[in-house]
Amino acid sequence: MEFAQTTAVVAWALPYLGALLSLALSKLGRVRDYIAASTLGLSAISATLLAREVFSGHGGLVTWSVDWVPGMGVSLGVYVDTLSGAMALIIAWLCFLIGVYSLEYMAHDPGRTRYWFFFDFFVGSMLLLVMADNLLIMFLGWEGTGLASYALIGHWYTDEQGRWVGDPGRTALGVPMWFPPSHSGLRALTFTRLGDVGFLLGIGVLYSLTGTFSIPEIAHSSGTWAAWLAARGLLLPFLLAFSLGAMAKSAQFPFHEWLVTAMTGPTSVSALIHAATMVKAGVYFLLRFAPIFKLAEHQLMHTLPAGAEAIHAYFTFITLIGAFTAFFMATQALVARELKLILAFSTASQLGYMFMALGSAGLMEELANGILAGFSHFMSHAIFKAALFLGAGAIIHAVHSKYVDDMGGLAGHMRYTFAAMLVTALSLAGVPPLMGFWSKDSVVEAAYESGVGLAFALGVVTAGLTAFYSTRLVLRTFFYEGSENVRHLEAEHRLHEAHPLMLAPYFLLAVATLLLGLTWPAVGPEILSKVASNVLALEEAPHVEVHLNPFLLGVSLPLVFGGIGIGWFAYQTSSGRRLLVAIRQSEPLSAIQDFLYDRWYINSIYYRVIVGGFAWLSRNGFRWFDSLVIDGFYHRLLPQSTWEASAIGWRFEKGVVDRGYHERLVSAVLGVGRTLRRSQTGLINHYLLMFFAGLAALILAFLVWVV
Amino acid sequence: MLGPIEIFEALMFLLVTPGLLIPLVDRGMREERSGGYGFLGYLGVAVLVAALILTLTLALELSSLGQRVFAFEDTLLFDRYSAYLGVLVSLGTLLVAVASIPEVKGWSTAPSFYSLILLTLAGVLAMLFVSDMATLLSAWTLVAVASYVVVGLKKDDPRSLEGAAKYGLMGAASSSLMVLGIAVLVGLTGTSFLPESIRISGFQMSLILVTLIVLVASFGFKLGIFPFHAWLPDVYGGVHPLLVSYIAGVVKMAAIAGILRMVLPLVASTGPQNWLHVLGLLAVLTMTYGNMVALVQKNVQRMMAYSSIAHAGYLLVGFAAVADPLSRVTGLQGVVLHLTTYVLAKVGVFVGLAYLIRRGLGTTLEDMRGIGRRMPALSLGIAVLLLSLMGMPPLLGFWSKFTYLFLSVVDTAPWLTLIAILNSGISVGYYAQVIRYMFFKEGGGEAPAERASDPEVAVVVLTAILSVVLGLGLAQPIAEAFGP
Repeated sequence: MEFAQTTAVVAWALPYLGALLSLALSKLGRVRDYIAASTLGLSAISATLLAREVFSGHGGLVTWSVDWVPGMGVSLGVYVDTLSGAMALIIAWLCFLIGVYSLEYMAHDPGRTRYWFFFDFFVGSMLLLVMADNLLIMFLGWEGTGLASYALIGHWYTDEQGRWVGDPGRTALGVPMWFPPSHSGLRALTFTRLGDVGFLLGIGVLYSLTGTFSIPEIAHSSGTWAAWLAARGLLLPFLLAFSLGAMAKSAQFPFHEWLVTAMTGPTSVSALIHAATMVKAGVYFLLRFAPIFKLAEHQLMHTLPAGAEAIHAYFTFITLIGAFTAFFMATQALVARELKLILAFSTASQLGYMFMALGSAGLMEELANGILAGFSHFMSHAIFKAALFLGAGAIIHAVHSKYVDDMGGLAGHMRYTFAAMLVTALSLAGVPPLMGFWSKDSVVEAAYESGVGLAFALGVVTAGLTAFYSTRLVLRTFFYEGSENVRHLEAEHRLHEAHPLMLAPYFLLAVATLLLGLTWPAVGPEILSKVASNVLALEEAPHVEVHLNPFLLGVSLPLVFGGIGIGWFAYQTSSGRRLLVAIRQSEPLSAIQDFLYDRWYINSIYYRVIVGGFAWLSRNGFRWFDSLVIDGFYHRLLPQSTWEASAIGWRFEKGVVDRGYHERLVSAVLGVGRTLRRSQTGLINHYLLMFFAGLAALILAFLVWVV
Repeated sequence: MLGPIEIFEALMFLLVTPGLLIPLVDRGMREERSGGYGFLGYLGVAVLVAALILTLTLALELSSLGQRVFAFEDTLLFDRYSAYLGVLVSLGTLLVAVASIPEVKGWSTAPSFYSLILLTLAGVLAMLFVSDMATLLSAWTLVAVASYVVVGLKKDDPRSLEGAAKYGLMGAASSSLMVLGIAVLVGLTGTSFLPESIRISGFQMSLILVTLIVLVASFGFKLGIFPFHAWLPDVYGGVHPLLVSYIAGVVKMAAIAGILRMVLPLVASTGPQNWLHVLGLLAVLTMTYGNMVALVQKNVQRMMAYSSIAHAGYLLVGFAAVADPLSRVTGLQGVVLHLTTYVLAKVGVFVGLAYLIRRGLGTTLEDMRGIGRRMPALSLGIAVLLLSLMGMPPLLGFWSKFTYLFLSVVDTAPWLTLIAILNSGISVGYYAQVIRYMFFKEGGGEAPAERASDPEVAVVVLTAILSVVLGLGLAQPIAEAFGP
């Protein structure tokens, strides 16, 4: 094995080893924690060496593979081009930093063995996912991340009320709106698995058409399989089904609900899995496959225009879904009361931006520019959102409450945290010259160039909303009037800065956001052109530059500063606060607020229609069966007919048969029947009826159908 | 070196002799015996270890021989595919016997239990190799009657007796159908020999189709194919789980053998389209019904009963793939692999549930609340087995279900693949529920702790380890070495 290959394998294998070690060394307490975290550090170093190899030598590509199931062409292999090299680099370092944070954050948790096992297991799976050279290995990593996410969301399975998400007691449309951790974990698994069904189906279709799971080979034969599907009108359904897994993983509408309640997990987990990495798996999917789909479109352009149109429609769909998710989740972030929920809504909204950029990429003239817009927003979001979450964890830790109502006035007590969160929140808001400004600008520009006007409009409006809720987040936490809770803690001198081990990771990330932002016009083109230099199915971008479109700036910057200004006015001036009170008192306005607060009632509708509907169906299905077949036939029709038959006989023998004898006989018969029914629950006849009726129905159906 | 025929003869002697003698031995010893029936358990385990070694030798020998061997005037036919299934049933029986020792030694019916599992195993092994309808009928009767009694062995439990009565009645109905099917087949072909492909010409397609459906119903009843499944939830869900582990993990194989030897040869006569539609429709009905109903169960044992129905549906997908010569091999490889998954998982899970009962817990979700903390090895083992049934990579269940069974029909019947994958998605709902209760729910503080010396725990852990190890790259070698 060459050096470059070794680094690639070590990068994903070490965290798995760390997971095993944390089980084996569970008796060692803190030492086990440090060992688990240090494997992440080594993995990050390995990913750095790998990125160096990919970006300098080796023509931008490192591959390695061993046969696993040779007959089906399944190998355990990695395919690290410049895209996955860059992804792995960012992911590995974020995982390591958040691991360091967890050392202190989880220091007093009793379930640390479980925590570190799943944490390291997650990191290994995530790195495997982005480096996989075939769909099955990618799926393996994909499911591994999902499993770890499920376990970590439910980490505090004891379901104490303090760990819940939502307001205990609150209902919307009669559906409870609070979620204990174990329930949230199940929701996450169910929602994402729903999407995975489509992903698996897509893998199956691709395998049956190409005979391979290998992603590069599928890319090279993209014209062939796409043509086969297009000729049968199946191309668009295929693409949509194939992308369902990505939509669910990245919490795009209508799968977004799981991410919201995933906030029951430890904050370090929210930062790692539900902000920086796992939810980006869907984005990676699009980064990886959008160029392949586009390649297919080029090949179909002249031979099968309908196929090219289907791919065009697919990209339009992704753009619109992304834009809608961005807008829709941002509106919910406006009114959320839990600090982590604001960030969760914001994460889904920003993921929507990435989907919008990647969908637009397929509609633009220059695919690479759209891809790079998506990538740069992925990178900048991963950095600033991880920092925001980690900071939020420190604050929740300090004030012992997750509600922003219990915060406020913390700026003086947690200076460094304040500085870090201010920088990263402004980056989220898209204030120049922070990194978030540049990447968001390129995303909006991609939407503009895609020609999907609605997506562009939603994207711009969302920029304003984002600026408002980012401002609200900072003001409610650090300024505003200190809440009673804070005053109380202040009096007892219990408010203090976070532990250095916790502070260092998010402070570093905030510095990274600032430095990257300041130098982006200079280093951005360099970084991006390297990332695009050798990506599967993507021709190198001819000219990557960071530029600003005056028209777009003219539209978006006023919205951003308007959002910040309104936020400042509402939460920092006395007339603004009076206005907020007035809003709460006005009926129509507070109805809107409730609508947003209850997440557009989407959750309630799901529970009512799907969960409730299914329960109703199964309940009534059995009841109907019971009342119609069992009751109607056995208990009514049969007894009635026998009773009538016997009534005739009874009239005939009325004078002959002794009344007492008759009564004794009847009760004896009934007694035997009751005994029989008890011993067989009266259902074996129903079983046999079903057996033969089913047989007859089957035979009849096929005879009618064949003859 | 013994040939396949000699090994088979040795197997029959090995199983039938103690099977017939155990009840007699007990009669002689009844007076002196003071302790439990533990010694019978050890005897059974010893016999079954030998049986496992013999079936394994048989399978390996046939696999390396590379050809099929007729025996006993063409009434038996040995091939590597059936021989591998023989290894599976021997393994399943052995695991059940190991797990049964502490539980069954207190039962008054213990001698019957060990006698019957040996005799049933002999019957199932004979079923696997039959190539003649008369032999098939006699082997089937041995398995069927013995299995009705096995269900009723827990005499002090009314649900056990109720289950046995229902199972027996339904069994009588389906066996009579089988006799009808055999009669028609003998009438059509003029011989009781079962060739690899039964070609019937000059008759109405409708007659052949009726025969096919009648035969599928008669074997399918034991698998739990909808709408012939009705007994299954009561037996799997109500009878003592240790007995169920045997019925679910081992006896079921007799029905698989019946389908392999008597139903599959009909494919040439029905034509690929009819075949695909009959089996595909039954597969869809069965898995959808099983998964839907499993979703609303609160009792894990009943949930596993419905999950068995769902898995019968998945297996039918593999049988449906036989319609097309191209997908035939993958489909049958899928069947053999998925049966491996299924036998390991179902034996393990039901044994695990039996352990909970023995330690004074129940089998509802509420009873399993938080047992992950008091019984970590058992719960972890059950969780792995459930994940394997769910089809989570890289466990064996993922490979057998997705890469073989479901993908086998993707060319001929993509709708079937779609529905199967959707069903698999639905099933996550209830499997995850069990894992959630075991690990992510408060409670279970008073539950007894597991003891390393309990054989049930060892069985659960062993099946879980096998599900992991076989998933890590052994799926394909098995499919290659023992495929059709």
